Amino acid sequence: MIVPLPCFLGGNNMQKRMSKVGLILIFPSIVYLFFLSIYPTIYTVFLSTKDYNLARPHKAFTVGLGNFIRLLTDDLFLRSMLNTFFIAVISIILEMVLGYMIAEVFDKRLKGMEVLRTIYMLPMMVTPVVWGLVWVYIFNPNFGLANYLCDVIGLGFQPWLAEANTAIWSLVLINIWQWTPFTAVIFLAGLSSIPKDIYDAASVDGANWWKIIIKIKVPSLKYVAMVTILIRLMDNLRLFDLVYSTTQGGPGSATETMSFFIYRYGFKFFNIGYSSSAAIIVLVLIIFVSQNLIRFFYQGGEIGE
Amino acid sequence: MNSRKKKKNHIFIYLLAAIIVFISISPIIWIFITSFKARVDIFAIPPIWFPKINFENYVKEFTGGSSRLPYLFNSIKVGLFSTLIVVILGTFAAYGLAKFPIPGKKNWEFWILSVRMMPPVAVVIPLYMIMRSIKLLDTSMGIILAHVGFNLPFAIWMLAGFLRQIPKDIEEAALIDGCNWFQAMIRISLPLSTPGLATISIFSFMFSWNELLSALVLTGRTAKTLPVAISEYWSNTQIRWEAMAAVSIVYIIPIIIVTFIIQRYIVRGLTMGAVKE
Repeated sequence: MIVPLPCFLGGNNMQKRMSKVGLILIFPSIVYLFFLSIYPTIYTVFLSTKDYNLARPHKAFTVGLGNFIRLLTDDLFLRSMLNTFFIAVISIILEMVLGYMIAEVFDKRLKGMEVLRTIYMLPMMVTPVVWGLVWVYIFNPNFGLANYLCDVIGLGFQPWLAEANTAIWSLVLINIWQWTPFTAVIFLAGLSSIPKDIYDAASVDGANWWKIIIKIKVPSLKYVAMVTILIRLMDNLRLFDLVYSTTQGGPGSATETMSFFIYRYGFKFFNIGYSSSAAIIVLVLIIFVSQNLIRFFYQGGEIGE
Repeated sequence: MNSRKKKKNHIFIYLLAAIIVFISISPIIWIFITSFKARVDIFAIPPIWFPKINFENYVKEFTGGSSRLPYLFNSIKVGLFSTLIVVILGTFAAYGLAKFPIPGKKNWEFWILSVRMMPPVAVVIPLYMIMRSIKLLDTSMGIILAHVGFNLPFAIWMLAGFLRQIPKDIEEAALIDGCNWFQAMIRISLPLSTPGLATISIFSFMFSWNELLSALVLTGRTAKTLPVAISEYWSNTQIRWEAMAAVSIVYIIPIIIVTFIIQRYIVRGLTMGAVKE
């Protein structure tokens, strides 16, 4: 017979001591995160109400909501928002569709498939900086590989990143290329969690492949699909590396994104106040998305006990 | 007849998978090829598919006066030290959250997760001002501190998940045998969650290895990390493609190795435990 141990199961005193130990354990991290995340955020809010330029000798002065009002009438900022959402929506839709199709291919449990899958994942593990530059090289209108291949298959000359109306599509293309592996492996994880005998049962009942997708796969993948969309939306809302290493917002303002706008105003023009206001707007947008995402983390993550 | 059809089907699937993989990694192959090319071969049309293997570009970029080697070392230093701090702080915090009855636990967890969601661009300006005032601009220390801040929430959340999977009975048995909680953690829980520790260490190192924005803003000349150094090949007029390719390959190789080591945990890591395999 198992005797319950009063020393650490029961006893209010013990409970209290345990929770004290717990608090001591999380304390260093909490303090650290406070100083590197919360304090800077408050500081950003503070800066966003200032007209403050690091390159100017005189001090900052308060403008209240002035920066925000200026931002909402700033064509470049509005353009950067529009571009960001354009890239996000188109990329995510195509990544989801392609990712699902590719997951179906890798879901066939054949020998060596796992190795192929891992190799397939490599692009998303490497920083977009490298890929940005590599694609600039491939997309070079004059000697790039892309135009050579276009020429071979008869598509003719493409300006890719060099012209305003093709540049943003080129970025979408790079984005999709790099991140479809992400959606694919997540769908793959979702597909592999569907018990295989359900398929057998369905085909015994005379369901065709289309019915299996609609009635079995789509409902089972709904959760992972939502998680994927939210994660990719967050990534795209803060898209910076890719733009920095390919177009730097150009040509003109064709590929300006919100994060790049903030960087440009903060660290090229040293207009810290204006840049901070834009950062606050991005922060609010991302909080909106992330609150939903966190709900999913509690559902899927084991932390909810 | 049926098995023959099945075999044909298999070949078709392999072929499809091979095409997908090839498209996915063809840019890697292409810069690998480019990294061996001489300057003049870069502009050749049709492209030269199989250049003579010579390591001249590698040697040139990693030795001599404008060597990128210091930046490689900076990246390694920043990655290792930030990971070390993340793992130490993260282990204690995760253990506290997973095993102790902390008042307001849900709120702490929620808050830690929210920190993770923060866009770096929203904190990078104040970080710059803070680092400037405590004289840590352009030092590895400055970037290490920033990267710890970015990666710690991830590590806590993930490791708490791994720790919760350890059955309570095992630890309780240790406690009955007279261990205190610290001994139980060091001797029982942590060894049992080695995959978790490995996963958070590798991911933390990889995030740091790949991070651009804060490294770009917080460094100037000496403390640059490799992504910043690579981004400097970018220019409006002329890019030294063969040099960029060689440096990028050196940069990518550790990631390829790491990807194969943690392949089982990639989905879990990149979705922070929301999706498991």
